[in-house]
Amino acid sequence: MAERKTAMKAMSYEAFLLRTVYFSPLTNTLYPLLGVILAIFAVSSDLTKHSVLLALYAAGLTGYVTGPFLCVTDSANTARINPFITLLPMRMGDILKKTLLSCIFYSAIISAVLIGFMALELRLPFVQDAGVDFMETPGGARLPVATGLVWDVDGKTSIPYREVLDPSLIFGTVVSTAGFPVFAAWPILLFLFFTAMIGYLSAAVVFRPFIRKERRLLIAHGFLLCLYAVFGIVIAADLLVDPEIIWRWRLVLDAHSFILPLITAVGVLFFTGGMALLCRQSAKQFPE
Amino acid sequence: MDSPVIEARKLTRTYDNKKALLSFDISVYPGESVALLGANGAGKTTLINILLGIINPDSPPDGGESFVMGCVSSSLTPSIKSRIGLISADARPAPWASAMDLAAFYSSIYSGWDAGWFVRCSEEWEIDTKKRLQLLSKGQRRLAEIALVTSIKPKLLVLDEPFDGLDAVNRIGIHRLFRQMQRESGATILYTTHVLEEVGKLADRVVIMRNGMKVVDCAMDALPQSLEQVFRTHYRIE
Repeated sequence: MAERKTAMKAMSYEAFLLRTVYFSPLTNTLYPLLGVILAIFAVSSDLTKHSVLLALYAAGLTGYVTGPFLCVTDSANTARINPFITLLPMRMGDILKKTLLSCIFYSAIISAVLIGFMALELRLPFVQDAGVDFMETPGGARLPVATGLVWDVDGKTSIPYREVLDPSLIFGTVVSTAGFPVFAAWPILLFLFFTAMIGYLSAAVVFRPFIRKERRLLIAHGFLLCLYAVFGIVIAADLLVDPEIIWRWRLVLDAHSFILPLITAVGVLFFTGGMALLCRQSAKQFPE
Repeated sequence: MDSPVIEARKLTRTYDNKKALLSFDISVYPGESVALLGANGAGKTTLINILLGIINPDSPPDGGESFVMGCVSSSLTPSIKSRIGLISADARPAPWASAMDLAAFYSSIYSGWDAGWFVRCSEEWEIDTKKRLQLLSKGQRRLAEIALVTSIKPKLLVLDEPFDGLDAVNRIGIHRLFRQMQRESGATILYTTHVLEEVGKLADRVVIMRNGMKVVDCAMDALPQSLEQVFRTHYRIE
């Protein structure tokens, strides 16, 4: 009786968690897809070549990891969507809707916090492509410069914007000093996001049976968010002590310019492999 | 008479120029238990897959048509799907999930989910519900699948060799369970098997298939000879 009560309790906890937060185990399939869409959202302001390739890489990995579950081969050697999925009483549209809403939700939070903070700080209506650049004064001093696109009053055109960051903005000296790293940290956070996502997807391949559990996914997800927060705090604290140290973080920014091609190369490799695997399965698919 | 739960007319399916099903007709009525018998390649699984919309028959008009609960097989609605329980070697639940994970998932999408039933089955069959399915033995995995599928309280149970991998003790228990579902909730059962002895224990009617065609369709108590003799006759086994 006690065991039964425990089982029921565990079940209702699971049910609650899964019903309210994620589908399970279907989300195992869709979660990497969410990562892909989120990545596209995250880099949508600057869809450079490496971003597209990273998204493709994630797509390839998604196919590689989830292919064997999504697609089954029957005794007639015909591959098709797993009947377990086909017969679930759910509309595919609902699943996609939920996935897309999650993506929009996450990307909205990230964008709103980062870009919104900068917009507030500079008292501007809206800023796109927010970032930090540096300029050297005739006297040799290096000054951080906020860059981005400012939307015009009519909201239809965007104007390139550059302004030397002045530690006397709306939140006062201390707050605005602490605010610098947020600008500086934005590309770092983006880079970390990619790295973490790639790490997660790679781990999903290598440690497949261990990582593809909903609770672990939730924990991993939470961990990544905490990681971003910790980095933000560390950079902020560092710069609060000495704003000149921003150059240390600039090095980190520069680092990603040569790490990304490497990641991209690995990504292309996985993408090609993943697609090849899917194609091999598809070759036997749907004889009609 | 009630309208049939399953109805198929002139179903035909071709694989690589070979007819897996040929102009196959079948009607299964509410509360019936129908056994599909036949050698490997007779078309049993193909028939089930077409009936459930997992695969399509040949293109119209040659492929025929089929309906489940009045709905065309190829476009079953979520509401109808929620009343169908399928056990098949092809329908593989996520192997990384445990029976408990799947129970939680099912409970959130099947309105008829009976948690008490699932717990009772799990306890009676001693299923390790916290272990991932891929780590369970074949028999335990099949029992877990049966526990899950029967807990959604389906009105139609479609079972493709459901006793595969089960020991004699569990087979008896499962026979009793399906009979109980049929009796208490009026569930309709369509199942395939290769074991003749099992047909008499669960089926009200037997359909024998050969080369994609129906060669026998008869109520169990109306068979002219023993099932084995009928089977031997149609398969020309000395």
